[in-house]
Amino acid sequence: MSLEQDLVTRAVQGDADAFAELYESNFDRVYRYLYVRLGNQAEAEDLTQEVFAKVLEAIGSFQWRNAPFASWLFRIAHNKMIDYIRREKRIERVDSDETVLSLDDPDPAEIAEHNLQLEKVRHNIGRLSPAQREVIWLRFGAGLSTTEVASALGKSTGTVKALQYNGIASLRKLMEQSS
Amino acid sequence: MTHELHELFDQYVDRLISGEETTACVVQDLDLSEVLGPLLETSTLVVQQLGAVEPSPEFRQAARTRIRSLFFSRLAHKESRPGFLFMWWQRRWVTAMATALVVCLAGMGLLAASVDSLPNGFFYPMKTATEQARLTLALSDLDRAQLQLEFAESRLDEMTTMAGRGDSDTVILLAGEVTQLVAQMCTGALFESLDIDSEISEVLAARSAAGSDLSLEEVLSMDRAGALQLLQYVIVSAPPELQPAIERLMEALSRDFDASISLIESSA
Repeated sequence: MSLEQDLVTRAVQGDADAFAELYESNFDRVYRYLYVRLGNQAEAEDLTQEVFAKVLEAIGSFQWRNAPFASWLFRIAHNKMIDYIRREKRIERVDSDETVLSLDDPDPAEIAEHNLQLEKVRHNIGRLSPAQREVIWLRFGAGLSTTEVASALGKSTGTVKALQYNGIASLRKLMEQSS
Repeated sequence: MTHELHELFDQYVDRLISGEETTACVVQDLDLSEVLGPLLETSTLVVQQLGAVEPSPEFRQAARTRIRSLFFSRLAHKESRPGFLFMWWQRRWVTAMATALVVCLAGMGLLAASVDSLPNGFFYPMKTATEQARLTLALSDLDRAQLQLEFAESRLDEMTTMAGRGDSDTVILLAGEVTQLVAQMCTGALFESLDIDSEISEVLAARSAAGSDLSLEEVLSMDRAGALQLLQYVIVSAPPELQPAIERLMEALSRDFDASISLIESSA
């Protein structure tokens, strides 16, 4: 049994420490995924909390079936986001309101530069095909492995690798065009 | 070659995501370097930009406090439930009664199925009533899901037979029942964690909004697409015992809808 499998099994059985560890190791990347998708800090914060509340509610029924825990977690995050978008009847924002960056030196000019670059990247990812976009968000935004992305999206790893390759190639072209 | 390129690129992306310096990700092969170099440059930019997004410390702290309190309130709720022995006794009694009923009803159902199992048949209402009773008395969520898949397959068989007789109204009715059964299974406790209620509502709403202006082929295609979409959502998370039945139904959906459409068309 892998370390993650052991952790998830203990969390499923109600072990508070195991759940806390899973929470801490996934919190930032769930937030990041939602933030880069929605482009709004307040919405990303609300949804991150909703995602973990749902995880807590549902983890008792989680069963390990060769699908990594992250796939299950990010399927919940994805579904929560889609529900939210439908509920609010809005489209994913291309431009964000503000950005929280982990910069060591909080120089305003540097932050502004980062914000501009991030918005450019987000904007152009938003112009990719839905499948390419989803792979890029999960792989580069959430940092999932190819296997985890494949399992979360119900696709083969070969397809995910092809979408990733073609997505980045298209993104490069779009970035060149927009600069 | 394309496959190898995707594979190699993926390995470099893995290294980038794990925090390796860009300079360390130099493609050894010069030919590939020309192709992959620019893509790795873009990948590095994406990793750097998206990776820099972090929740604020205040939010992190507030969220941690909230989840901790949720965790302990759930724990407290769990511990306030009736004792294990009472639950065990209750379950044993219910199981015995349910088993007896299911045996009787299954017998009736088999009779109905063997005598006349088609929608316009005399025993058909008994068959569907038996199915409902079996669903109500299912002992577990898994049993219930298996029954729903079994009944959906049965509706597909009936649909093809009725299509062969040129009864397009009944065919449409049965196609709708297949979608209903699949939707019911997907809303069951087994797939609660998937949170696909909105997708299910969308499929059902589209079906009920389908007007008489749609052709038979359009209605059937809509039912097939809706049912397949829902099954694709749940199959990854389905218990291993359920997966073969889901796969079988997915195959049957593709096969029987096509067969029904062509049967109706040929009988028209």
